[in-house]
Amino acid sequence: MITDQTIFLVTGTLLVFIGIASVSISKNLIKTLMSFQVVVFGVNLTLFASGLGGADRALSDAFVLLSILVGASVEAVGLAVIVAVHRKYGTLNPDEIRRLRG
Amino acid sequence: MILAEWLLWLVPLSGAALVPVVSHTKKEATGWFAVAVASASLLLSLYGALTFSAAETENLAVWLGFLNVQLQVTIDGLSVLVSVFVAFLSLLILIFSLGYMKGEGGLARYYSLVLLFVGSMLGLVMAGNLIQFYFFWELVGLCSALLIAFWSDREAARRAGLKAFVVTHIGDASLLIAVIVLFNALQTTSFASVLASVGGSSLQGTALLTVGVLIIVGAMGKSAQVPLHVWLPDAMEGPSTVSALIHAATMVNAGVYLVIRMFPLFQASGLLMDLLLGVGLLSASVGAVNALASEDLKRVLAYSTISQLGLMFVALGLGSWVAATYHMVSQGLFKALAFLAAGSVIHATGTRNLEEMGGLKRVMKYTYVGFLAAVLAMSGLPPLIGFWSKDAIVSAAFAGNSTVGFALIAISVVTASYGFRALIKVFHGEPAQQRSVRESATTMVAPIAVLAVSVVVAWLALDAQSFVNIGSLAFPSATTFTLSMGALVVGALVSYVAFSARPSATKQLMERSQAMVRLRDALLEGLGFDRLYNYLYARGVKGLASLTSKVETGALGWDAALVLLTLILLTVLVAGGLV
Repeated sequence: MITDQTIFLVTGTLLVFIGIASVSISKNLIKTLMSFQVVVFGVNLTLFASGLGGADRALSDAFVLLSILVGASVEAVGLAVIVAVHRKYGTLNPDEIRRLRG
Repeated sequence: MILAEWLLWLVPLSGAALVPVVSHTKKEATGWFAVAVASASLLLSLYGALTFSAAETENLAVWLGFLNVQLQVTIDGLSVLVSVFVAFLSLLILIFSLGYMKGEGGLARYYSLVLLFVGSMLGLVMAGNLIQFYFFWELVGLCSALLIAFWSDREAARRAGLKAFVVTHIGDASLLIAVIVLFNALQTTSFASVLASVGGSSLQGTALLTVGVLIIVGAMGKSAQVPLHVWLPDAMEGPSTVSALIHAATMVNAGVYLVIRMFPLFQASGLLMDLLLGVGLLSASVGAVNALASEDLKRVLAYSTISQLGLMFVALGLGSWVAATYHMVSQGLFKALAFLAAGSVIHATGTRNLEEMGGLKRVMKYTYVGFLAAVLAMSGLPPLIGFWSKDAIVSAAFAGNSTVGFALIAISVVTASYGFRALIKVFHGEPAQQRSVRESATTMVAPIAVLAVSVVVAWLALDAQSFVNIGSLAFPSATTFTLSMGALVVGALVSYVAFSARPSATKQLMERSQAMVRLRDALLEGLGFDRLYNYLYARGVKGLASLTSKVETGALGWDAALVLLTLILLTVLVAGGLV
């Protein structure tokens, strides 16, 4: 029988791998950052799911909330870096930025 | 609780953190602040030495509970003597820096790093266990690399700093492995407990040999012994004050100090003693002949340090750690003097090339007297400090193995010869350059004068055992005395004839003989150690790099995905209990 927990776990794992796949192929830094966030969401979901039905659900939920919070800050910093990169290089394609390098 | 033994290294360490603040509020005061901190450290170590009564280990608090490590200091004759010596030299070098570094940029960085350097060395000297020792050992290495590369706008300086860091880390890695092996075997790293377990069931035979060899390799890296000596000649890219610090007071003494500190461990195995002796003899001779050929004043002194450190290893290999300790102190004194005098010369002439100097005796009288005292002490003229410590080693050699004794006499001939060669080329003869040269400022001459006096009189303090009692300096036997005086005279005469009386004949000889030219080129190249390492690097490391570059392509997305996948793989492995 498929429980809610299984669905969450499978979805979370899928999200992680989808995120990694799109990180490896994206040609735009903003998309790369978004893909990283997909990975983080996948991890959060897995963490949340693994706490379901456990004795100490509050703990896993707390960790998920903490992770979301940290994820938001990371997102903000990442966006700031991307803005700086765009100002300096005029492009967001990592391959082009690599070619422009010294 | 003797507070001084803690404060003497904690004061310079905190001083290093305060230097940027001082520099920010009052820029001119930076140097004087560093001098004040070093003076405080010297006073504390002197206080510790004068109140020293019995050897003990003092614990302050638990530092790393899971490793069974306490914050502790070792108080015995050795650590007390060396701490006073390090603090004394550091203070003089800092005073010299006031004049020498005047007008340079980045002085806050300079003084901060020097204080950190000195504090780490003092912490290393006082450390009561291997973990604490290793912590400061790494800090000393880091500070020396950063100070060598102090003039970081120069390519050569950056490369020299990096080279020092990499080469000494071969030794550091070896020492770290030794610490881990020791901890696994004994569950403790305190010097007292480790030395007490030597020969016991957990530390004998192969285990003892392994640990001993690893520690010796560690000491070879720090103390610039062949074949890990290649960083020291290049380290001359740093300011002369830094060279003086590295060669006399801090860095290179750390390796010898480690071996002295753990000496019972080496004494337990004849093989380890032979290894120490062999490494020492090799370095003493390689350093000496290289110093004879070098055309850079500071490189002469650098090779001389390698040679003198080799003598300390020889003393250790012969079982005389007292002679090694005294030679460490005496080498520190006369090498600091030589480097400060060389710094004064370089500051005045603007060159390090021996061929572009000459005739400075008349214009730089005080510097000349200082350098002369250093050369005489290095060659072993009685009653200068170098005579007592070097002849103690030679006596130990003749008492044990007379072949080693004669090898040391031969090295003494070369030592006197390269010392006088540098002296003659810099200070005697005709001036080689047109620009007017003047004696350096008082802040630079005063430390040179103090050191020159201490090189002459320091044996009184050591010999009388009034200061710290670790063993006496005996007057060498008549045979030893005659042989080493003969070596001094022969070496000095050879240099006098070759470079002062008949320099043109020497030049002709060098030009005519193909063998001599080839020999000189080989020596100028440092006997090809650098070429060997470059070859190994090109074949080994670069090959590996080209292999890994096929996986790590440098494309952002691919590399990031690789990192994430590896993380997941590791998590699965750890969760599955496979690692």
